[in-house]
Amino acid sequence: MSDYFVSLLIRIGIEAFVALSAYLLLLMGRMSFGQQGFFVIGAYAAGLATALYGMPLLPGVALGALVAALGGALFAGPMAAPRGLAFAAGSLAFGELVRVALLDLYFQGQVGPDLIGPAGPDGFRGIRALFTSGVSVTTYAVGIWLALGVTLLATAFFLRSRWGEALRMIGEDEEAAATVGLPVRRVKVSALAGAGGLAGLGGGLFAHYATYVEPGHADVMLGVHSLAYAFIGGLGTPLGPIIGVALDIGFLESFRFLAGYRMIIFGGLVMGLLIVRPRGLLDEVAVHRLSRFLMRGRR
Amino acid sequence: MRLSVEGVSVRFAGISALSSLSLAVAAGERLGVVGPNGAGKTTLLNVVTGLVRPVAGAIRLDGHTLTGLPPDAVARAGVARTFQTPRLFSRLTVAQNVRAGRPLDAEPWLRLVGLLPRRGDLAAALTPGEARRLELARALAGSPHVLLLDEPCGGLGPTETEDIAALLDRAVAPATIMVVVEHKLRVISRLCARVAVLHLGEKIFDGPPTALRADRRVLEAYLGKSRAS
Repeated sequence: MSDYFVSLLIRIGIEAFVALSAYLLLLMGRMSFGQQGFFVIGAYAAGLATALYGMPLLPGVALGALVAALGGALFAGPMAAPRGLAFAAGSLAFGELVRVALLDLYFQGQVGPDLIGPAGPDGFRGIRALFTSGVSVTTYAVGIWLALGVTLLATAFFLRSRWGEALRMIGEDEEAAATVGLPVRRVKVSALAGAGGLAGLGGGLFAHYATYVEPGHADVMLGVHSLAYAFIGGLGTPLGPIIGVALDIGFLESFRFLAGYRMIIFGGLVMGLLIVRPRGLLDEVAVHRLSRFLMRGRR
Repeated sequence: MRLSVEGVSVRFAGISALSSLSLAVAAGERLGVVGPNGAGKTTLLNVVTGLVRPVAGAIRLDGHTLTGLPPDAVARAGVARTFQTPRLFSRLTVAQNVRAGRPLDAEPWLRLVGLLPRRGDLAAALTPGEARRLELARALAGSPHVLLLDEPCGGLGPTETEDIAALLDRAVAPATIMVVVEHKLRVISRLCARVAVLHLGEKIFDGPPTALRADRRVLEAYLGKSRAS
C-alpha cells in the first residue's frame, strides 16, 4: 500500500469519528458547529497523557476521549436546553472558546532533552508515542479502522436500543418525547458527552499520527465539514457519516487535477444533493425501504 | 386517584389564558372540556402536563403536587396525553411510536387500535385517521392514571369520529381519569357524564351535558349576549 493511500485512509478514519459525533447530535435535532472543540480537547489530553506523562498509546488515546466526553457533559450544563439557532450559535462559540483558550495554554515539562507540552500559539509538538512504540503507520491505519468498526457497531447497537429511539424522538419533537415520559435531559446530556468523546477519540488518534496539534486544528471548518459528512451520507444509519467522509475526501482527492475548481464543483454537488435529499443519501426512508427489502429477501 | 386543578392561572405576555381555574376529577370519571376558540382548553392540558407553568395555583394527582415538574416527570407520574394535531415521531415505525422508548410490548396496543398490520411502517406513511389512532395507542400504552385528549376527533369525518369515540369507550380502563377537549358535543355527550365549559380562561359551567344547552352563560359565550337572549 502506498504511503499516500495509507495517509488517505487515516484521514478518512479520523474524520469519520468527528462526523459520527456530529451525526449523533443531528439525530437529537442539534446542529453543532463546535465538535472541533472536542476534537482538540481529545488531542491535547491524549498528547499530554503519552508525551508528558509517559502513558502508553492506547490508554492515552482512550483518556483523551474520556476527557473530551467529560467536556461534552460539562458543555451540556448550559447547552442541553437550547435548540435551533441558539444551539448552533452556542456550539460555534464553544469551538472558538476552546481555540482561543489554547492560544494561551502553556503547560510544558522536561522530557529528556526536550520541553514537551502545549506552548500557546506554537501548539503542542513532540507527541511521538506512535513512533517510539514501534507501531508502523500502516498498522496504525488498520488500528484506526478497527476502532472505527467497533465504534460503528456500538453506535448502531445503541441507536437500535431504547436509548437510540429516545434520541431520535427528541430530535423530532422534544415536547412530545417528554410527554411520554422519556428522561429528556438525561438522554441529551449522555448524547452530548458521547458525541464529545467520539470527536475526542478522533483528536487523540490524529495527534499521535501528526505528532503535533495546535489551536488552528480547532478551526470551525472541521465542524462544518463534520456536519456536511453526516448530511451527505445520510442520517438514516451511522454508516451515513462515514460514507459522507469517504465521498467528500475521495472526490476531492480524485479530482486534484481540477485544482481549486473541484471545491466549487463539489460544493455545488452537495447543495444539489441536499435540495433533493435534505437528510442525505441514506436517509431514514431509504434505510427503512432497504431493510424491508432485505428482510423480504431473507424470508 | 384524583386529579385536582386548584386556582390555576396562566398568562402569556400579560394576557390571561387561564384565570384561577379549579377543577377536580375523580378516578374513573370522564370530563369533557368545551369552549369557544381561545377559551383556554389546550392551555389547561398543557399546564397539567407541565408544558406550561402556571403563575398561580397548584395541580395535584392523588395529593402529590405536579406543579413545576418537567413534562417527563409528570408523564412518569401517570399522566398521558394526545395533541390537537397528532405529534408522532414520523421517522420511526408505528411500533416504535407506541413503545416510545419505554419497556413495553407495542402489539396489544396496536391490535386495540387496529394498526397491527402497519406496525413496521414509518409513522409518516399513516393517514390522518390512523395517525390519531396511533397517538391514542401511544397514550394508552403506558396504562396511565390520567388520560388527557386534545380534540381526539378533530379533522375527522363522521365515520372516523364514530370509530374513535367507540374506541375510547372500550379501550380506556374503567379507573382511568379521562379529560376530553372536543368541539363535537355529540362525542362529549357519548363519552362523558360531566362537562366543563371554559370561556376566556374561566370556568363558566360544570355539570351534565344535558344541562349545557339551557345554561345562559354558555349560550352567551357561544352566541353573544343579544342572540342568547
